Amino acid sequence: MNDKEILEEKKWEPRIVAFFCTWCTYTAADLAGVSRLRHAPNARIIRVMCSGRIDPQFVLDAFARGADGVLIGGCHPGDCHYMEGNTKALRRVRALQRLLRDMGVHEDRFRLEWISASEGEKVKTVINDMVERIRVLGPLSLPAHCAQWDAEVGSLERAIAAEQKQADGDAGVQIPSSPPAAVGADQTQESSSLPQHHSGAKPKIALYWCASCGGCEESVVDLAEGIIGLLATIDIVFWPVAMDFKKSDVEKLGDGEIFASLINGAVRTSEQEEMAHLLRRKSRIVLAYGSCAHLGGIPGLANQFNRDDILRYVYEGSPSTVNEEKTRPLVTTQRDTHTLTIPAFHSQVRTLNQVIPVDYYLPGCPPVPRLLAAGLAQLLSDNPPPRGSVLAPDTALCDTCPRKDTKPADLQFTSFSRPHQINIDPAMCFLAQGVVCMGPGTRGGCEAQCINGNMPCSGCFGPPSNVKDQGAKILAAIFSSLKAKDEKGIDEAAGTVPDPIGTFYRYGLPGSLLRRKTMETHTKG
Amino acid sequence: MPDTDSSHPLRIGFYICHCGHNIAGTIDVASVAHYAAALPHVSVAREYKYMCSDPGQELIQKDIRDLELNRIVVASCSPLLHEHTFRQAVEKGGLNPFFFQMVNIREDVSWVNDNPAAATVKAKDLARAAIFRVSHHRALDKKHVSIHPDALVVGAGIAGIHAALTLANAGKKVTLVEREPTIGGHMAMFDKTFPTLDCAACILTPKMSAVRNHPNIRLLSYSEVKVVGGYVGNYKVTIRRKPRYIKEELCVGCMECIEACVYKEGKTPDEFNQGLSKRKPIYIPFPQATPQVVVIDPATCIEFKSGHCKKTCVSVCDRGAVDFSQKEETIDIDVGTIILATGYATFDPKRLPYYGYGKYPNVYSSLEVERLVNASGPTAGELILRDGRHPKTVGIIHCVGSRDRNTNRWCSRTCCMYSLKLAHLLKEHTEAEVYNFYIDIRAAGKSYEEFYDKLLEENIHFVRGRVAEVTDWAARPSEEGKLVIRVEDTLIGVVRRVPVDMVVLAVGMEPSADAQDVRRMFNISCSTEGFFLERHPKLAPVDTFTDGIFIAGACQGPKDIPDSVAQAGAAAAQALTLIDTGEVELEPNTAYIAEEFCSGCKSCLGICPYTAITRDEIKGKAFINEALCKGCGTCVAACPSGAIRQHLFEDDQIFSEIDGILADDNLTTAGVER
Ligand SMILES: Cc1cc2nc3c(=O)[nH]c(=O)nc-3n(C[C@H](O)[C@H](O)[C@H](O)COP(=O)(O)OP(=O)(O)OC[C@H]3O[C@@H](n4cnc5c(N)ncnc54)[C@H](O)[C@@H]3O)c2cc1C
Ligand code: SF4
Ligand code: SF4
Repeated sequence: MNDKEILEEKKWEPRIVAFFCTWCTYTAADLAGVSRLRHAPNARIIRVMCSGRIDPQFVLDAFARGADGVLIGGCHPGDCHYMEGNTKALRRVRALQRLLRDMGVHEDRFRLEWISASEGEKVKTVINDMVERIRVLGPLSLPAHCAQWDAEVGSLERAIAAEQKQADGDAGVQIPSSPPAAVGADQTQESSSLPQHHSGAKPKIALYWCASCGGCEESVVDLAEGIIGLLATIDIVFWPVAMDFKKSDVEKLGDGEIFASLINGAVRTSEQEEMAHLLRRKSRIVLAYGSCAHLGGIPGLANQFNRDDILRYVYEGSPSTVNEEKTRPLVTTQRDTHTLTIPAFHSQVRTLNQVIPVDYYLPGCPPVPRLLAAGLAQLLSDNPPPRGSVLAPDTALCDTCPRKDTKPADLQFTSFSRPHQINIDPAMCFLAQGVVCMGPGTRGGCEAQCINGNMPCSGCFGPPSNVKDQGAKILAAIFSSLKAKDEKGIDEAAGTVPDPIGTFYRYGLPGSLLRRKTMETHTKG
Repeated sequence: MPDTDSSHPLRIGFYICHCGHNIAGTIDVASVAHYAAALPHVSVAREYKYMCSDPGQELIQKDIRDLELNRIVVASCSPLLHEHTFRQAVEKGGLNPFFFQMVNIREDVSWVNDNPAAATVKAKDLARAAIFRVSHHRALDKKHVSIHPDALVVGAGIAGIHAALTLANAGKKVTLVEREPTIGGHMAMFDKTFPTLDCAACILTPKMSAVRNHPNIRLLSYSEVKVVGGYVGNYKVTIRRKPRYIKEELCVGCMECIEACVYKEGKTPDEFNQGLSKRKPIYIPFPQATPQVVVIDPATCIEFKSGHCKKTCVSVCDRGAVDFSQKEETIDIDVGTIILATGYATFDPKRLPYYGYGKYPNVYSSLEVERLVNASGPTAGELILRDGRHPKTVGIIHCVGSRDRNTNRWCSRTCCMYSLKLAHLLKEHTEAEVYNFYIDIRAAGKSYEEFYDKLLEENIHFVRGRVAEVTDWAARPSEEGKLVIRVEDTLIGVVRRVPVDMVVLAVGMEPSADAQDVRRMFNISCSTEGFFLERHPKLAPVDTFTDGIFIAGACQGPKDIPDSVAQAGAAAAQALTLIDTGEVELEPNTAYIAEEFCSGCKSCLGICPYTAITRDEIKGKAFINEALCKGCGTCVAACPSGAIRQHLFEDDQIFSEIDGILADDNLTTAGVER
């Protein structure tokens, strides 16, 4: 049975999450009820005080959890009970609509409507219309695309948790589906302490790379002399980039024998997946090392494209390729009596924690040596940080940015420039110069290296722990402060950010709420 | 008493209300309860006929005690209606009142759905969302603010007057703001009032002078509210006083200045007389105007236009009250409660050209006729038409601009009755034949039907049918020089032409022209027609959605004087309740900073509409002044670090609600590409 049949059997009905402000649209929905205006039963309302409260993360989260549409309802312009909350909502929504379009989500799935308290009738027509349009589009079912993978990680996670529970005794309160401590695949991680390293022998450490540029390996070498001291306290049992190790060396080790595996790179191929699983089994601690393992990194930007499109471009389309027979690599090739296998190229790039349970994260492209040294020391200590921790400061970069004092309190953006388009004042906050800086929504700890190099923060340390989706939050922060109040002006200003995904999700597309561009066929066949 | 500490294992109680047949008639409540009972942490799930009733609330309280529940979810009507009720019940049961979440399955489900299966699914989804959400609720302290004992009443028609007097008699200080030079509103223009036919002035003037003389009322006539800030109990209001060019404290209303004005005759259409007479640049709207103080209209006064007037008004006033240098004044006041009584406007009959208003001089609006038949009106009560004749036949057309899809759909409620009143008065004044053209006679009110009966005995003619046209085109000699009313008499089924000398258009009641501006300023809503919206059409008819602001009279919808007065009394009582309680509980939904996560990035500073957020320069972090925060949550959504939180609308609460809505088992997992 395929997806479609299953859906048909279950009689798919569009599911719409509606965020309504309490003063106008929620009251209007009540009025529709009091007036007994029948409307489609597909919308589920979440009440907020003001449309200005609606965080773009809510919208993305709803889609990511399976909504087929998201509707926002607020007071008409000029009628906001908080003066201009709806204007801020409008700015964010316009930016978000553009982002969603780039992410392949059809525009009919995300809608903003101004509905005043007296417009019960409009609640009815808007909901009915939206349901009809979405019915034509069919289900979006974003979670379905990764459900199997996520289920696998989930069951591994539960197995680890069960072992842990046995070791720890009982756990405290359980709250259903609390937002994950770390960004990435949404697994409920229990915050129990991890087995510490107790035995007399030197702890075994493994290092491995998946889809990455090699910069992370370089950063380990950047520990310089520090590495010698480190080697005195640990045993490196696997580090294929630097030393001659084979997969079989790892296989020979007992389960849990490795103290910690530091895995960098995102996961795209079956080989990477296999190695990740192997190392997970053999290790007590898995640390996602660097932006790619943490959130998907630059390789994760490939999630804007279909696998087929990528292969077609690489093997046929790219200017330097001559391939008249249109030969493509095959996962298995039969030659005489030999079977040759190469790793399969998966449909999308995943973060490490979308493949295996991950205990710690060390962010950065690449991580700074100081944080690596400090992180390792913490892990080896008697008092390791809680599981799921990101081993970097939990305040945003602005906190430690040398240009912080030059940042104005009331930014009113009219347009944005890219760093090469203007002469950047090396002493002034980038945002004050109209250059998008991800600093306000990115963890600090990077020693402001880009800022000091007169380049804005591009977000490689990922979001602080209270943020689920770095791009959505930065978008909310920046676009709330546009000067324009009307759609045209807002679009003009927002349009000067040429590549929203590449700007706001440069290092974090697979780890974001939507994970990848949706290849939605825009009309039903 | 059960532990309300959040580290205690969750024990959720779920209650679904039948609301008689309102919910249970559509939703399978038993199935929802059964479903909820199986959700994580739900200790008990019950259904009950009326959850908001005392036994319903006691059910919750008993369970909290017996089953040690620490979170409560009630699925019933809209939280806008009963959230408070249930929070109180939860609190009485010994829990923090905010360990509660409400699910709206009546207004949002059973009342908008015909399909029981779909409605039940929706109810389950919403119940699940609330159950997930309530797990994340935190104990909160209630927020109280004190109520400033002074009140503001805007608009001094009969409703505003009555509300102000009621408050003042109860010992409260009231500021009464009226836009016109005099108070009294529409009622001051009438000669008699239905159904008793008592003279309007006789019952209104004493109230007007009571206002003037009341030690607790500060009357600001010829004034308008400019800015409203603050919140319930603590409103800050700025009032603009237009210059009268007369020192109000000196003028005694002797009107000698008007006599003395260099204009011997009035040249400007008199607003109060609906333009049926002319007034001078210095005038008083009507003899009993309150305050009894003249006004100078700078648009027509020679001194203002040229600066070369003999200023006879100044010389004649021995009290020295005329003051050409008077400037506009602004007055700031603090009040705790506000009553809006800004009244209505009449439908402009020019919008229906086929009734000939403005084209044929002898077509009048009802308000003009009120002045014409008024003893203190432009003709001293003598019915002289614009062409100087006395009418021998009069046609009154009902429902002009009412009950009509092309203009206003609503019934203006008063026109039938005042048309009967005018029919009686016209007959009395002129002995004319009077015809009423009506769709239905709506005489629902105490003694109203009896009044109608009485009129039938007075030989007034009634023709049932909507008038098609008023024309001066004579089809036969008897129509020559007359206005002909063309109408289908639907009782006998013939099209009739009724020639008359005078046509009266019973214009309907509409929202005032500036109703939208006023409601914006006071942060309240309007209903679709544009009248101010009450909080609940039945149970909170004088409250608005903004706490501390009440509405009374025709600004809320068409109504007659008795209803306006009753509503004014109710609004005053509501205000008094607030004032005498002394404080009010506010939703504790303010924003706050989780400092350890704040990077001091300043993203929030410019976003707050109330400048509640500042930067603590020593800590380098944002700071929210709780007293200024109104709890919109705009900054929460914009904080790129997730460091700004909002009580009652925390991120984790909303995320869990989203999760709950979508966490059914309808997801497909098979057949996904790797
Ligand atoms: C032709 C006619 C005849 C009628 N005859 C009768 C009758 O016989 N019996 C009966 O019971 N009802 C009658 N009615 C209905 C009656 O007029 C209303 O019920 C009554 O006037 C409503 O009173 P109110 O105070 O709400 O409004 P209004 O009388 O309209 O008073 C509102 C006041 O507020 C002031 N105001 C408005 N906006 C502002 C502002 N922004 N700031 C400050 N002040 C403002 C206005 O100047 C006015 O003084 C009649 C209506 C009409 C049209
Ligand atoms: S926005 Fe960027 S440049 Fe400005 S203070 Fe923050 S990190 Fe520094
Ligand atoms: S919630 Fe709204 S009112 Fe309160 S501080 Fe934030 S922006 Fe200001």
